[in-house]
Amino acid sequence: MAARHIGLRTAPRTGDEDVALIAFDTVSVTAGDRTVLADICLTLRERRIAVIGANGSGKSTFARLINGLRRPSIGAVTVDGLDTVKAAKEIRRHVGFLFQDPDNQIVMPLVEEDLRFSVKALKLGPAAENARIERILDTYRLTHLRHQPSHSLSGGEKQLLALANAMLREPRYLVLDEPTTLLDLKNRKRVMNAIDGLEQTVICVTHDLEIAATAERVLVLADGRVAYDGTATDAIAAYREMAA
Amino acid sequence: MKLTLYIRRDSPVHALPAGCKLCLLLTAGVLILLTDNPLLLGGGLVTALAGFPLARLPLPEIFHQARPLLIVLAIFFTAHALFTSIGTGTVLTLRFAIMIAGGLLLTLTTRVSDLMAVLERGLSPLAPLGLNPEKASLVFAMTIRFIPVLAETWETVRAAQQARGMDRNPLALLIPMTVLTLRRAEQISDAIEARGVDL
Repeated sequence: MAARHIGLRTAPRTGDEDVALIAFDTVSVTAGDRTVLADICLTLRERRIAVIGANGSGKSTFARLINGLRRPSIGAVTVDGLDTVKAAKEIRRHVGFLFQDPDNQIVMPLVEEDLRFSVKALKLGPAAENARIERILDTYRLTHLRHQPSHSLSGGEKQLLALANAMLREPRYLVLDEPTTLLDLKNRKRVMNAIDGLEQTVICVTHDLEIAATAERVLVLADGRVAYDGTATDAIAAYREMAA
Repeated sequence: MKLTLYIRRDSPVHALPAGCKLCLLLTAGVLILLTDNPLLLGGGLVTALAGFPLARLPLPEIFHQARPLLIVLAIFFTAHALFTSIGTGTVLTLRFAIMIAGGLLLTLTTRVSDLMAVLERGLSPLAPLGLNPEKASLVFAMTIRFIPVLAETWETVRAAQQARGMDRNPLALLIPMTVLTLRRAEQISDAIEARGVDL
């Protein structure tokens, strides 16, 4: 049997969805005297995009710009035409975000309480909220853990809970900031399998070249600039050359 | 250190509404100030402790978790016995013990989300004065949620400094702990914002 690689494979489209679009219009980000990102000009239409680069290259800032957690110092980022600063609230409804450390994104003491906290912000009403929580617990196989203290879960379970929280909002986009860095091989596989099947557009910041290799498009960041933008094979080769 | 907060059980204590349990705790807090009779206070402590087996909680585990608090109470009593009187020490220690037992029983048998709902309702009259009940209850919930996380961070920092032979230096423990906690607070704030919750 051929080895099955985990990663950012594109799930089949279910209908004639509009083409998703994230646009960076001459974006620069500075922190004090330091330029974190400089002159980023690009449009993302693909459904599986990976962002790779050395530590401090601006990857996490790039990811945070997409859901308005970080504001550009110059330029603008738009998601489906919405400015991520001016329409921050709506953007967060449509752009889910998964952080590196699951411990820092679980807010409530129990698994079910944490999901309820997320869904409450949507103001759907009790029946719809319950239905959505049940569905998401089932999808991510967390039903048996619903009454467990969130701090007692394994790293993979915590990251799945964080993913479930993001997916509760039914976003169109999902931004992942090194989602598997702190996970062991088994949990990494578990989380990436869950991400694999998503219909959403996924932008994954990662150091894991195996994951990046499965993306449709890979951006290589270096010193706050896009040093390479292309197919996974070419981008990873360019990154290896840069790192040599 | 493995800290446990809410423990799910099918018991009459768990079944009591959160608001009712909170009211009982507040009433107990007032009543213990109205008497300095050690017998009455002792009776109050026995009543509070009786709640634990009634709630079908794992007593050895809870005793293990509460041990540091018992040590603090013992030091408190000894200090009073030495510097004021045994009588005063007994009364004050019993008052603290009742409140600690009551507070533990409340957090072990009540889901934080239920307590949050009670707090939100209770604080809503203060909204015109500028207090946001949702934010206040979120702060409460997060305090509870992050007690075990901070305890684990403390253990990690202590082990790291122990490896360097610096575990007896309080600054070597407090500085990294403070930095890590502040960094964590920033990340948590980002995560809450990313969930679309207004802060």
